[in-house]
Order: sequence, then C-alpha cells, then structure tokens
Amino acid sequence: MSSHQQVQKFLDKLDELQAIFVLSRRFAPFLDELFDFVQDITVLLEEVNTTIRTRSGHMERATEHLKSVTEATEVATSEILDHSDEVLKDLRSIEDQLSTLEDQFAEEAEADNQILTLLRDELGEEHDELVDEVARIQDEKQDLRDEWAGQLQETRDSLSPIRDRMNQIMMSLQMQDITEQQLSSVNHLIGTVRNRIDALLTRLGTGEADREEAPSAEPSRTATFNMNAEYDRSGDKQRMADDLMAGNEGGAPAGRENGGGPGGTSSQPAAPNGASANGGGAASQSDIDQMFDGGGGDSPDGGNEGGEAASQEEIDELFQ
Amino acid sequence: MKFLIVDDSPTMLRIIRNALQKIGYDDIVEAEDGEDALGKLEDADPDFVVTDWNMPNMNGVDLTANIRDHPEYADVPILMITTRGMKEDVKTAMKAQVNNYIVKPFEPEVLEEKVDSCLEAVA
Repeated sequence: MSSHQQVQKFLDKLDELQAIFVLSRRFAPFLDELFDFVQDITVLLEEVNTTIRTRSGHMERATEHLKSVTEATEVATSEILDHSDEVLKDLRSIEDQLSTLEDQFAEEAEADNQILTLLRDELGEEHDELVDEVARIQDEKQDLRDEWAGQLQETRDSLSPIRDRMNQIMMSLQMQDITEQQLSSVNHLIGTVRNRIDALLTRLGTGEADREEAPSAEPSRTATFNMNAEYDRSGDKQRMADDLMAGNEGGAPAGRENGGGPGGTSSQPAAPNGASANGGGAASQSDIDQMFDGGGGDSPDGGNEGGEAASQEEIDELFQ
Repeated sequence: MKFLIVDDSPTMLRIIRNALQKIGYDDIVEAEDGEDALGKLEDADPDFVVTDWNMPNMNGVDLTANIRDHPEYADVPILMITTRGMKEDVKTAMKAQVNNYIVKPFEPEVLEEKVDSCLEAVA
C-alpha cells in the first residue's frame, strides 16, 4: 500500500469517527432517557419481584386455609350425619312404640271378646241384661281404641315425611365430598401457579419464593380429585351415563328431558394419579395413549375427564 | 348379600352405607381406597362391590381391573359411584368392566335401581 493510500484510509477512518461523534451527540439525549428509564424499571422490577415473593407466601397460607375449610366441613358433615342417625334411630323407636300400642289394642279387643263370650256362655239368659251392659261398655272401649288407633296412624303418617326429609338431608351431604374435590382442585391450581412463579424467579436470578417447599406441578399421589366435580342434581349426567351404559354410543344430549344443557365442561386432558385435569399442562404418555385409543383407554390413573356429560339413561343403555 | 363399599371420603362411606341399609342391605364392609379394598377382598368375601373412582393409592378403575383379574371374584357385580360425569369417563369405566355407573350426587332410589340391575345382569 502506498503512503497516499495509507493517508486516504486514515482520513476515511477520521470521517467515520466524526460521524460516530455526530451520531452520539444526536442520540445522547435519548440515551440519557433510556438510562433513566432502565434505572426506573429496575426499581419497579425489584418491587414486582418482592411482591411476587410475598404473594407466593400468601398462596401457601391460602392453601392451608382451604385445607382447614375442607377439614372443618368434614367434621361438621360427620356431626350432621351423627345427629341424623340419632334422629332416625329415635324415629324408629317411636314407630316401634306405636306398633307395640297397636298390638296391645288388638290383644285387649280380643280379650274383651273372650270375656263377653264367656259371660254369655256361663251366665245364661237370666243375666242377658248384665251381659248386654258389658257388651255396651266394651263397644265404647272399642270405639275409644279405634279412635286411638286412628291417632296412632296419623302419628305414624306424620313420622314418614320426617324420616324421608332426614334421609334427604343425609343424601344432600354428598356435597361435602364434591366440594372437597373442588377445593382440592383449587389447591392444585394454586400449587401449579406457585411452581410457575418459582421458575420465573429462578430465571430472573432472584431465588425461590418465600416458602419452604414447592408443590409439584403434577398432583401428588394422594391428590385424587375430579376438577369438574359439581353438585348438579339435574340428573343430566346420570341420564347421559345411563344412555351410554345402555349401548347408545353417541349418548343422548344431556338435559334433553328437562331442557337443561350439558352439566359438564369441555374436553380436557387427563391428569396423573386419578386427578382429572381441567386443561393446561403437558400431556403424559397415558394421556397421549388415551387420545390415540379413542378416548376410552384403560388409564391406570383413571383420568380422562374429556367429553360430554353422560346421562343415567346413556349409562343404562351401555350396560344393557 | 354382603357389600364391600370403597370410598376415600368417610362422609360418602356413611351415606352409601345408610342408603344400602335403607334398601335392605345390612351386611356391609368398608374400605378407604382400592388398595385397602383389595387387601380386604378375601376376608370380606363380598357378593357386591360399590366403589368410588378418584381415590389415593388405587383408584376405582384399577380396583375394578384387579377384581376382574381375581380368580375368585372376577364375576362379582361392581357398581361405580363417582363425581365423574363425562362420556369418556363412563366409557373408561365400561372398559374396566364395571357393571353399572352412578354420578354423584345420587338418590337412594337410583342406588336401589342400579343394585337390582347389576344383580339381574349377573344372575
């Protein structure tokens, strides 16, 4: 390279340097603003980070609260069942006493008849007037017994609806099992959110949230619940299940008998360990197998919650 | 007629027991999950099994499959009572060879109808 070329190259570099200086001057205010913004956003991010860690701790407390609610409802339900059992036992005792009284009335009437027959046989015609008087008194006694028997029957009739209502109360307590499953599913969701937050905080290099141990994103081995559990007394699902059982593969539309819609939710993948998932999360091999198996596979964890609600008729048809 | 009822919810065990007693079945053994039920199977020697689906350790579908593989109890009627009311659930239960299926919450009349239906089917 000649000296001229070298000088020219040097001048070109100077031009480039000058251009950079000009550009820097032009963008300097913007860079200042950008720097200020980064400083502000850093403070903000730290606040967000602190809030997330704090909230994650709150989630753990919420989980504990939900567990407490579940335990409390279980205890309360058990107490209601105890009281219901006692009431039903008392009702049976009252009915037994009524039966005993009715038996006693019948025995007394039979004894009166025997006395009257004996008097007629033993006393002869000269005491007809006395026997007739005894018969009249016994008729009055029988009228009284009939009246009491009627009252006993009324009492018995009034006990029947009480027993039916008590049984209905006991059956209504199925809601405890259903709400327990609903609360378990909420707890599972909270656990999943906490795990996601942990992962986020770890990626941000700020460590884990303020808690001791993170629940698995997957339900635990004992976390067996149906996320779609609901206290639906319409009977739509039972009818659909009956139809399926009766062999109607397509199943009748849920709610066709009472105008209601399907009681369930849309198709979801299965969650491990018997917990039915309500969407989200990676599919396990069993989920995939089930999908390829037409949705009715023999899942070891029993968890395909997808599809439409089954009515009892559909279930019956499948099983016939 | 001896019943083995399987549910991890003590509440449901009592409700099912009461409902069965109401329709005249008093000989009842309880188990808290599928594993417990399998362990009690031979001692309980049930004529009828009523099981939940979602349970820890072993769910109702697996329990059904295990009972169907059992040389002595393969033909025992199995009624599933569960909150799972989707078509795919019912189909899965059918594949596991339950005899009938009830969606919670249920009425005692439905339980009686299904028990009778199961007994007729295996008679």
